[in-house]
Amino acid sequence: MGLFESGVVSGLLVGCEYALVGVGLTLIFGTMELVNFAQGDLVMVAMYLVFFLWSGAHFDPLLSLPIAAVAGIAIGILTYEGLIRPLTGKPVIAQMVVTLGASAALEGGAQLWLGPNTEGIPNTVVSGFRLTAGAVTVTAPEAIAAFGAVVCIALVSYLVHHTRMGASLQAVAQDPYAAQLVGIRPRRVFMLAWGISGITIGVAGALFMQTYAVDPTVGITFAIFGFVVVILGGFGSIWGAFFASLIMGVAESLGTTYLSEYGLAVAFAVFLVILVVRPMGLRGTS
Amino acid sequence: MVMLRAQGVSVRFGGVQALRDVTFELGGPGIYALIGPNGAGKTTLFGVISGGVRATSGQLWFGDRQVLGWKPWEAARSGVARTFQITRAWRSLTVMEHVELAAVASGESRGAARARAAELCGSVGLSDVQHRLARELPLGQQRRMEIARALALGPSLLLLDEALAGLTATEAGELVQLISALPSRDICVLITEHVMELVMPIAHTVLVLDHGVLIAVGPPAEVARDPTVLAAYLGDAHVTP
Repeated sequence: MGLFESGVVSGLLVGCEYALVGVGLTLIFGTMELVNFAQGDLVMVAMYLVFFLWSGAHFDPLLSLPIAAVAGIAIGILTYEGLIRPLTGKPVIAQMVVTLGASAALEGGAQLWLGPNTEGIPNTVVSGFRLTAGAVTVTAPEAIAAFGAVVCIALVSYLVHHTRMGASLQAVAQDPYAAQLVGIRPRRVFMLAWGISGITIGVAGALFMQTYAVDPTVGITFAIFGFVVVILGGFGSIWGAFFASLIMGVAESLGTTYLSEYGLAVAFAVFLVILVVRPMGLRGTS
Repeated sequence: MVMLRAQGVSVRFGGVQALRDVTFELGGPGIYALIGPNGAGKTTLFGVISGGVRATSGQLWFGDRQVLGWKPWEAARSGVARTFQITRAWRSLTVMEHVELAAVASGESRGAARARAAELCGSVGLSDVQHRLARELPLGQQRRMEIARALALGPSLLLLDEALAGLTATEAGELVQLISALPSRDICVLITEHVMELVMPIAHTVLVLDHGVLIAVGPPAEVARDPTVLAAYLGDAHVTP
């Protein structure tokens, strides 16, 4: 019984973290119908930023979080302005291919510059603490990373669903032409979406460094998991991506607990079953 | 005062000449009807004026500003608003949010925008449903929502694209009443419509398009007798020489 509880809790914690990647992806997709294949690699860049702040200036990842969030906004906006906006009016596939190229360039660039080594932060200010309840023990970095991710996702959801800025974003996402006809500039809104997505990238970078190590190829793992939760949650749905990530996290964790190396296979089997039953995803509408 | 002036406006979509050398002027507040059979180019002309359609040639002035080729959001912020034959409501926003968003985009503060949105919802008869999702409303109410959303921009020119199409006689009559009152808000209204009888009584000037060509401009009674207009609507065989 203890194994099961530990597996569930561990899966929920991992799911919360991975949801950050999914939320960033789904926000861009929901606004522009664009899949950003570089999302995972942008998280990798943010993780390296946090690592260098720790190794160079002894900044704890939690202290680096606001810096990483601001850097994430810059990364998101620069990606939009530099790579996506020049292709405005071109087929979405062209924009997707550009993000694919950016992904390869970031990974290759990191390999060239930093080499293939894996870098981690062994001692953070909270790494010595643990929370225990019954048979379940959670490390403080895991708990803080999951809590931070949930707070960040809630904040993004609030921005999108309960502010004027978010209403503009929804208007452009649902009918860009009608949005322009009430004076909304799509370019500003797209920049906003990439900026918010950038926050999730930066925050993910800081939180992931609490529990994971970084290497130039780490982005692909996050990206694949991110794409899966976006599809499972329903394209464009923030909370759909969040709950999908929890399901995937728990499935993978329980799979690993009981079937060892088949954990990922179990998670993807659950993914396929849910899609067969509900092809539009958990919160998708069509 | 000339509010809008089009001169030699032409639009070509590939091999189709949607508008050909269209020239006209709209004065100050009042109701202008743009009529013509299906495919005459009415919606294309609306697109040129409101910025969604790029003209192949010609000139367009809004006030003293040359505006041909402007972006839809520039048109909206400059005082040109429009509605659609097939309504374009955002699926996740309420009626109030639609109107408020337009008011905010026009530069109003959040509080002022909310108050203005509530006032406009009331003035178009949507107070009771202002907190419902706009997409869930019947067509007649969605058309009113679009008018309220357009009015929230504080437009000086309002383009109503077949605002009466698909409505019951009662709904159409009520909407005609609402539209008739718009010039009192200092708004110049340009309305397209298939059915001449619905707009003739409220329009002071009628413009007639046929196959992309402006074939007549004048007071309703005069246009209604124009043989070219009758031929366009009824065919040459029905026009008494």
